[in-house]
Amino acid sequence: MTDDPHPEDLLGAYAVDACAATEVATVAEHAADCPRCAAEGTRLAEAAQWLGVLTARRPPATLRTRVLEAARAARPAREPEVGQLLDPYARQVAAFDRLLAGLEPDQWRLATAKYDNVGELVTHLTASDALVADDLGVQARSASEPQIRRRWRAQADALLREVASGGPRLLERQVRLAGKAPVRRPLREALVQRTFETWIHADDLRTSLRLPTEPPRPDQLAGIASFALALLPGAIDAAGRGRPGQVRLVLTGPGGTEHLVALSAVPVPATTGGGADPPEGAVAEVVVPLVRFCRLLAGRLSVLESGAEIRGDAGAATDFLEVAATLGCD
Amino acid sequence: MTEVLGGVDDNDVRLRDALTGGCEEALAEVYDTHSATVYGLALRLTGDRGAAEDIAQEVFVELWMRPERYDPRRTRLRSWLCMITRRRAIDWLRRRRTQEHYAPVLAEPAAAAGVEDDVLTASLAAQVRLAVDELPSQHRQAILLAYYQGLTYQQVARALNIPEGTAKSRLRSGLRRLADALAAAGFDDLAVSKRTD
Repeated sequence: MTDDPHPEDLLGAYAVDACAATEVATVAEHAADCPRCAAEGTRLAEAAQWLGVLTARRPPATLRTRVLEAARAARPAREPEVGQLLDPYARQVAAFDRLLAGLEPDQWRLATAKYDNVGELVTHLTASDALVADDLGVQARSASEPQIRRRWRAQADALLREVASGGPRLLERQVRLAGKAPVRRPLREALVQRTFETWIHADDLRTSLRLPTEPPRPDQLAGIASFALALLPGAIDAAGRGRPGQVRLVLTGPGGTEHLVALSAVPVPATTGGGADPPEGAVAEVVVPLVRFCRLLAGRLSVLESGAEIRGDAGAATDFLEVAATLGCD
Repeated sequence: MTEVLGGVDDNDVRLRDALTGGCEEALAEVYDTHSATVYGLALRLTGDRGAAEDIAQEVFVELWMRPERYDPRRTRLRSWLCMITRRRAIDWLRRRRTQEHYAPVLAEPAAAAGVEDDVLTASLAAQVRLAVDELPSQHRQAILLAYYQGLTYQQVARALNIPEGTAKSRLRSGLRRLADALAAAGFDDLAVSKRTD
């Protein structure tokens, strides 16, 4: 509350833009600190704007084309291929933001997954997103934004805008991925990772709030698994556990697929001339639900908790799963 | 100012996010849902078809260019579009009025026209019309002059030959009554559970 008298007499005029500029400033300044006047001003303005429907009138049919063309000229629409990668990310950003927007002040202090409080979690996600945003030269509009949530959201929105207007060629641009080891990959993969990390942190928060978790759609989960599996052979080498042979990974449940994954990125010399076919039998088979495998990738489920069934070479399968569990962004 | 009453409209959030992501289908959807309101309001304010089309174009292109300026937590998309439309139309009117002497006329807004097949808009218009008709005529006059003619409260006072303080208080009481009537009619953005005053 401020010490100023409540400018109640002006609230009606303010709601319909019928005040002088100095009066507008007086009301806005007061309302910034006075929830009661702010609430009344909002309600009166909302009521006033309903008057706008009274005079609804169908515009000439030509106006629709004119508006859409002018819009396209002012800011290019994204191409469908870009939309396929961007929509899942945009959905996770929106879902996480909705969770954050609903937090009470004391809920911001909740310990969440690997973070002491929600603020640290969001700051961490902002830093991960910044790897891609910086590599694309994206400037978040409100770099000076004081609020943790707004700063994250402004950067995510700026990233979405940039990719949306960039076209399919931008998707091939090499950018940094988040994670333990520095890796540069095409933007199209980085967007899958952004979707992945944003979802995992939204679920972290849901868990702290005792809400049910909400996995992305099965086809998006399958995309996350494929993204990680492409990195896995190199990661197994980096962990010093590379070996010849492959693991057959059977991902079950909606969106489930089978993958043959090499246990090393080092090419295995062909034993017989010209025989480029992969070996018939994998050294081990791992069967696990797709959604659990994604949570394992994020380091949110241990190998044991994932309930993975292992057949064949148990050592190879365990190495495979243990390294997979390090591919998250934390 | 403060979060919109009655909670955030998920559809407005979805559209705003899709616009941020450069989804042209979202703009087409916003246009199809709200163009009659935007165009009709601009036409009512300006009385000029060409100006109304230009204003409608500017309003939708502005939303497309800067969707992040619209905050679904503060207001409904329809209200926001009406606000921007009004501001543009009032700018247009004020530019005009410097050239011609302008005498405000007390005119009731024409009924929504040509939107019968737009069931949602037509039914909203009918409900708002009912709420407006129930206002005491003094309140109704003040509100309609300010809203549809873009008058300041001082100009409303002169047009109705009443003191400025009375014009301010009629605007406030009239809008409060309108908000209460719309809330009672089920407009959840105006629902109010407890008033602190």
